[in-house]
Amino acid sequence: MGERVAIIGAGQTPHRSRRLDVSAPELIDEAVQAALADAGLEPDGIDAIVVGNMEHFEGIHLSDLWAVEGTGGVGKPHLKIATGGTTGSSLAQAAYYLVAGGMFPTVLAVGWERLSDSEGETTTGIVTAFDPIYERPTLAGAVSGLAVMACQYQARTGVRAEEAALVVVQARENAARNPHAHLSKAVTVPEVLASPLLSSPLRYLDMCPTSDGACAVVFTSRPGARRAAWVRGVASRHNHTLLGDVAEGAHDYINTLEQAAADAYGQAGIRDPRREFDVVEMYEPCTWAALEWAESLGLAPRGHAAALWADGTARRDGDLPINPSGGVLCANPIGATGLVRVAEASAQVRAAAGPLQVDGVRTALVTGFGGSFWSEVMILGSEA
Amino acid sequence: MPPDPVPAPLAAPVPIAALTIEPRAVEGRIRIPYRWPAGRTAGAFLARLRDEGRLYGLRCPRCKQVAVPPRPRCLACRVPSEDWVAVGPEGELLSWTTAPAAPARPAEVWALVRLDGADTALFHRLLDVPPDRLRVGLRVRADVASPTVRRGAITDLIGFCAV
Repeated sequence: MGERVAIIGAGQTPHRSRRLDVSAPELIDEAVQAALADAGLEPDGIDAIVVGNMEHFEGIHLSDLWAVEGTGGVGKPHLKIATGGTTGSSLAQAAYYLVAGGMFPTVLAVGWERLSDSEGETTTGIVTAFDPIYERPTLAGAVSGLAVMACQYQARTGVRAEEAALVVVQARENAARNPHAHLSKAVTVPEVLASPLLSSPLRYLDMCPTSDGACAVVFTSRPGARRAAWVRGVASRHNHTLLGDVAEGAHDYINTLEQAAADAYGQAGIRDPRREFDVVEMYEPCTWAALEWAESLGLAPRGHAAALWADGTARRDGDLPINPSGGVLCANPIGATGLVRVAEASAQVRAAAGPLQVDGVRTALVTGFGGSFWSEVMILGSEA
Repeated sequence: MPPDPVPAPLAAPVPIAALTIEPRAVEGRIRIPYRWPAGRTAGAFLARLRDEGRLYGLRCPRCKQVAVPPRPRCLACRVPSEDWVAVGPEGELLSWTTAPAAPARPAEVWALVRLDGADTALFHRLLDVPPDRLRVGLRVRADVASPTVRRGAITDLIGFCAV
């Protein structure tokens, strides 16, 4: 291990369906200024910046060229990271590595997205992410792969749609307390089940929204006396490309989240994740994914994650709160989404989460999801 | 010479945040033609699909797993795979998703199918399978376009029908 790394501040914009009042750099600036204020730093307190969005949504190439007016990166090392849905969690990991490696004392991670900029919203960017020979003619899109995965999970476990719906019912309840959340209107299980079918078994209210927003987080090896959330575990696992190779049952199927979690748990000395974590900020693009991935994370036995939501365990006042922020189901500015998980979890550990604060958080679990079901995990703790 | 005119005093500065700003955007459209090469492995697979109407995979010399679509290196062992094997035309359904009918579009079912002789699954359309027959393990058969219209693309495979 290198330097011990702490998060000492984070900032977010309000995430909204359309931020037509600001340009991309202005949007980024909102999050950056909030993060600097939260960390008690002036701009010259930042030694390097990692910035990213998912690309192709805004029709802007070399987006770091544009973003620099918002990040404050002129005259500083300024690296772009773009790993699809995991862009935000990869930004956190890259910032961690730069600080842990002793390269820079303090690094600012900045993630942003303006999904409203293109008429096709997520479809525009995600279609171009797929293999043009085999999958663009048949599969491309944000929903289809998740739907195929949810179908397999449903067939294997027998979990019913009304059980999955509880995930978004709870997410909206939590988001009602979150001023940054994009969707905070209460929904009921019957409303979820009556919402339009997108791609079976996924309905409209099972899926995350598309949002405009930005997030920034300060990583440092010199937290001084500031309240800190220490990074105690970091892991990333990439995956194959085509859906037939990353779906369960494929001959070289790997559960990237299970692998990344095992790696990060080992670093942090986590043996019983269900008991040792005080809060989870999970990247859940749809309700069904939250169930399957809670199991991959070892938070529930295989096939039984629905009980976490059904019996109140996952509620913000439950034994293991999952996404007290409302999660991705309530705000999804893609290049920022993974970093928002880190921002929310670090605020919980720093007892700085305001109306979202869960009592007595000492250890928090953060995940990122992207691409062809690849995964990232970060563990934060109140002690180095 | 008349004296220089005295400049009028500037209005007191107004913070941008205090201004009421009409949202204003520039509209554009980017249209760029591309050409994506299939490469040697997919190129051979697609040429045989066009010429023979059959699907082929590549077998790993080490673990013997057959990848469809074929990949030049085994996904697991990372050694070169050069042993072409015919797969299908029948296979089994692993997973599916149905897209509802829209005004200009009939309902569609898309599925992961593992062809007989293959160890990986191919994602493609399911043709004429009633929703109540959809289940993991359903036997399906590849439906390939007629030779006259095949052009060496994955869409030469029209989809899969229930056996």
